[in-house]
Amino acid sequence: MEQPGRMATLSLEFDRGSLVLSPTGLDQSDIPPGFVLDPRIGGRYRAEACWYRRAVGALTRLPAPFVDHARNYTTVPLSQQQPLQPFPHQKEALVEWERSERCGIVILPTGAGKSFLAVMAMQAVQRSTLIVVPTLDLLTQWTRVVSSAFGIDVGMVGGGEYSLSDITVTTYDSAYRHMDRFGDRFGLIVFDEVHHLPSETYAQAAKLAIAPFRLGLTATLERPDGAHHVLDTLVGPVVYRKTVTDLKGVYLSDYEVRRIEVELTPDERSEYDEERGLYLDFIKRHGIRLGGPHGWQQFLRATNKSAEGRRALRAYHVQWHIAMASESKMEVLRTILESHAQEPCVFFANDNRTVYEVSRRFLVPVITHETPTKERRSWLDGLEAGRIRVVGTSRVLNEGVDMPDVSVGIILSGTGSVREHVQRLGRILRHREGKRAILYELVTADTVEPYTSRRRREHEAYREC
Amino acid sequence: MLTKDLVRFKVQDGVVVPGWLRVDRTSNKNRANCLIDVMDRLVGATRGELEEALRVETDVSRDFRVRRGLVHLLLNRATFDMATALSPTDVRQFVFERAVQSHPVSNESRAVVLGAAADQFGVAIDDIEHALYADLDRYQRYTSYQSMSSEKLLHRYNVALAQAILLRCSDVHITLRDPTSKRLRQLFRYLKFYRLLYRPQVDSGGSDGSETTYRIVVDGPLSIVNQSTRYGLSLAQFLPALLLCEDWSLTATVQAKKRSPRGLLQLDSAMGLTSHYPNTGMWIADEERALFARLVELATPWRVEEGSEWVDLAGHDAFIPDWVIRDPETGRFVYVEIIWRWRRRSLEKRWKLLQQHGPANLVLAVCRNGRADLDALPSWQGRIHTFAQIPNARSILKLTRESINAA
Repeated sequence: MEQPGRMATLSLEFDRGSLVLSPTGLDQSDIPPGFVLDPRIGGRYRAEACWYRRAVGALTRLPAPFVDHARNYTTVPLSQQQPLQPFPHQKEALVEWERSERCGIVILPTGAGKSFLAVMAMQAVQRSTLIVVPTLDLLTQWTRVVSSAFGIDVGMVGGGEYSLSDITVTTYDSAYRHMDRFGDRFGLIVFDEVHHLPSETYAQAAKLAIAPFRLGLTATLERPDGAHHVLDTLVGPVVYRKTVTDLKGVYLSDYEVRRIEVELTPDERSEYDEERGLYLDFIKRHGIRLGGPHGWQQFLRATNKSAEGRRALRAYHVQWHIAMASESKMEVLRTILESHAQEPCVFFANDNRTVYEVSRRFLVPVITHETPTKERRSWLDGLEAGRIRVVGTSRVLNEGVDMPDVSVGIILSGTGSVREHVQRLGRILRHREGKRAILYELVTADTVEPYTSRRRREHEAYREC
Repeated sequence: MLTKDLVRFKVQDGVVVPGWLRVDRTSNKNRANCLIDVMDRLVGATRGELEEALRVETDVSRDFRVRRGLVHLLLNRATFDMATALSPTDVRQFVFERAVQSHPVSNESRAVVLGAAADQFGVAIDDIEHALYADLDRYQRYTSYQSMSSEKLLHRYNVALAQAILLRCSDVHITLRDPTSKRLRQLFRYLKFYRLLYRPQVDSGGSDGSETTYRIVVDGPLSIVNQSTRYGLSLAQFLPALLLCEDWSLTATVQAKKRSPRGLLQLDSAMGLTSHYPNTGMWIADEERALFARLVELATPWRVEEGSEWVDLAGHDAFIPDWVIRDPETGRFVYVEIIWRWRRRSLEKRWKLLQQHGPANLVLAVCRNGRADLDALPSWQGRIHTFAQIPNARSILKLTRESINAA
């Protein structure tokens, strides 16, 4: 039996996303922060795994011997195959992160080399590393980047894959589900697009892991719900920040925005007005203010209650779709594609329906959540190699996927979220010699869309355009 | 299990009232049957058409949330495949790369590209149009579904509803009355499988034959740090395992959203919730019955009890012995644990735990497995009987006697 008392060996274990501290009967003052007595396991102590670093610090200062069974990560010799010269902002960011005891968030615009910064951090830390990303595209992309940087095999968890190794890439979805199984295996965690982390479920990915070193990367930290403040405890403070305007022209390509107003055809106009009338009438009668903080949820709840409500919801979708993907827009799109027939283009639309409509009409490939992983890669490579000219996408490419050779972007339709828009700008803002990117924005006149577009533009990346 | 938007319950005076569907009610059977009918009729249609036909059946009525729930369960049992012999990936590859030559395509050049593809794949142009995105969900062909009766569907609905409510629960208490040791072990196997933690409290039945009651608190490792609905999914998945038990009840605190009122969810075996989990590990081999009968016969005046005991292993684990042999005069007793089949690694682990934290009054009977494996295990310090095929009742009783006398 374990002897309570000062000199009994202290031991720390990892148990399903938590830490268990033995023996029982410790002095109150010796119990590290975050731990509580757990009667279910004979009165030993338990804490969330993220307390690991502070617990080890506290326990090693006690006179009793201490054994650490929780730590299951190793030192991994990592050196870049062909060391690249970092940009000054990457060097500075790494220095600041190291100074913050290797816990913190770096904010850099898309295209400023965030993945390379992560590679630099991994080389500095030399520990088993987990990289957490939001999408399957980024999963494959990071796997490629990291394995070629260090010339090693990289594990993948997510999108039907489950292979763990010293360096592993996973998605937020898989991370929060499986972290209780492998939260002890990594010394460093890199959270790509870290603004996703604060949601209650995704936050588990940070809480159930012992990793003492954490790096968060993003272009835009602000979340509409204000939850970005909790990142301080989940990852660390913001240690470095540079904006698009700070780096524009120096490391990112110069760009130009062209906004084109499109008129609806008479048929579309009358259908639009009719459907819009139907749904406006519904929200008016139910006293719903869509612009209010919970307006949309309120609307959905109301439409869910009657057949009439469900008709109103359909009317909403129809008028939205007309505004976003009108026949006239398709014709303007054709003109744009004609004038850039020899250049690689990417177009963005808000919904898959529009994306597939364009694909069938112009026989161009698209990438949506339904596109098989291998095919995604093939289209992006094809765009780079010139085998194809255009790739369309709904939301899946919004963040972080590298498309270095695209110089024309077309926003066919989109939502108003500022964050999404900045990510889209990032698509075509990658640094290339003498490249001037063009971003087209197609807006249907006299519909909801101009408002959406205005909300989109309220960001510094856009202000001086 | 039902998705969040399909859950139906209200909180009345602090009690959760789920929107159960009564299985014997004709109106419910009719609702189920009209959806089952669509599933039967539309075999061969596309997924999009199937979903649209089901939507027509659900959205016209006021009870569309019930119907959508039933649809959800039916669709889970449907299989789909691709309605073309061509590989859509190959078709897309060809078409999109060919289209680059006349990019952006006009109506005329579009037809030329598709015509070239039709020649390439040896099909008609329409087939190419069709194959282009035949792998998308909505164009998939609905081939079959695992059919079930309206009663079974309604049963599944009620379980799925209970599971969905459990997703937002905390503070789960389970009570079992007079479970057999096999049932208890089955339950704990499921609890472990879903990575839940449990603390049982036992009210042993008296010698007068009164029942043994188990009160079990179920939660997850981190529930002790903050009470949350973090383990809701595990608890929901575990529920059908509990439904396998004979006499049980469950209470849990449910909170739909952060600021909504809490309610007490109460479920029990009288409600007729039916499990769809396999009822494994409950089978009793003839050898086992025979051994038990032989022990009962030879042990007199000692009693051999089949009842289930819970033996805690200092919070590291617990075990439920097969039988307890008791001397009614002194009250002294011995746990009998029989290990029929085993795998080296799990036995080694169990060995170590029992050795460190197990009770002294334990008699172990282990099958030699016909291999030399047993010799490779660290030697067992306590009372052990090894057997080739069937344990010897006399040997077990001899060890029992030693243990009882030693005490």
